[in-house]
Amino acid sequence: MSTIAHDTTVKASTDPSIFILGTRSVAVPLRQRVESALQSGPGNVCLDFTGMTVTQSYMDELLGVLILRYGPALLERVAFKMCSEDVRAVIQFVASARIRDYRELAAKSAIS
Amino acid sequence: MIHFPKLMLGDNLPSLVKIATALVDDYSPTVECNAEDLITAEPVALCLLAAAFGQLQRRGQRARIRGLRAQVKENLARLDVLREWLRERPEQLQSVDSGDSQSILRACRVATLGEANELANMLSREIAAFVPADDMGAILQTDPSLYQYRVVEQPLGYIIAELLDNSLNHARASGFGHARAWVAAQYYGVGDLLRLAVVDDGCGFLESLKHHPGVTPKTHQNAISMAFQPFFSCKKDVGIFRDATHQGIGLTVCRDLCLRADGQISAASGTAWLSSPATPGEISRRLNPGYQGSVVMMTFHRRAITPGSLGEIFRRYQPDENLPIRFI
Repeated sequence: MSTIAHDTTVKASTDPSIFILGTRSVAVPLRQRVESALQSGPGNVCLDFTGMTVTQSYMDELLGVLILRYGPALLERVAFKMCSEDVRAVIQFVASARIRDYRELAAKSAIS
Repeated sequence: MIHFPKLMLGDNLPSLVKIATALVDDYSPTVECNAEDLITAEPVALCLLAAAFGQLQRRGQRARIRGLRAQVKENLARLDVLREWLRERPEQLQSVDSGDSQSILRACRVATLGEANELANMLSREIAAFVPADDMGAILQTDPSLYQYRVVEQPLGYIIAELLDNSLNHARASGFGHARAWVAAQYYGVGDLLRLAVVDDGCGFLESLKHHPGVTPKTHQNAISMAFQPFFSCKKDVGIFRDATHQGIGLTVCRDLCLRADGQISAASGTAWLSSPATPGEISRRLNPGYQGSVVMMTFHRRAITPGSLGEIFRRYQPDENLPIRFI
């Protein structure tokens, strides 16, 4: 288990009526907060998914977009807290697919 | 005069689309309908009717429904999607007896992605909280198997959110900024059957995928089938697929969740209607007339859903081994 210190912890949702984070648009404000926190200093960000379910579309808009922008190294500065097994699987799927996309795009850029 | 049959069921989608088409093809100031035979309408029928009446309303037309039975009218008027048609006081999502005295219908129109997320939460939570009457006795005996009814909450919320996100995002990306979606669910006082339909008045599958080389020939049937294939609209198709930021797994996972719950799923768009799309059991039928937008409808059994289904599906499609992600 990593002992990394997390400078910023962000709850995925603070609305008690929400248990599923489903549409892409819902992910955008959280992604902007994460991006802002990462850019503001060398610290890390912890995303808290306590009690939440996420769709692949939501997680792709949150994490997938960040990976495509910053590459796999982004995962060294982001941690995921209190994720159910389902949420972990969605995160693993999105990260895996988008890292592959990132590498393919980088390889194409290098060739051209 | 447009006639509504006694039973407006999903199994007879061509008939429902024909009625919806007749409504929107009628440019009379007041469109006359005869509903004296109508007893019950399943979710997909409600969605298609609501979409058609919405289109009439946008054109400044009115609809007059003759012979609507008092009980049916009372029930339908409480549905958000039909309130404008029946000119009742606006109300939000309501449960109604659908007319067959055994089921509950919930339906709503969605115009924005924010609404879509809110509705997915609300609808799935309410349905999960409902326990059929024949199992109420078991509650008193604290039967642990009743937990299975709550298990539907997450997969159902997932499916509703993904289908609505898909409908509205693809429509907007293809220039159908006005597109709206309708979602309706029906469940029963006895048994664990759940019916769900999501209908939109957007661009349809073929319009979204018409530039993709994988859709060959460019038919509605191929477009629907390919849309349910995993990774069909993935990022490497940048520049080909119009909204290339999608990963192309949303519809695939919704289908798999439904099928794992002993369910049936079908999708329609244009002149094609496919059951079990992109599976070995796929069946294609022709819609005549066709439907401009897209239709996804499913039935499944709540008690057949097992915890962890979502994770199992994603692990199956994951392209590479697990990454060293920091889970704390």
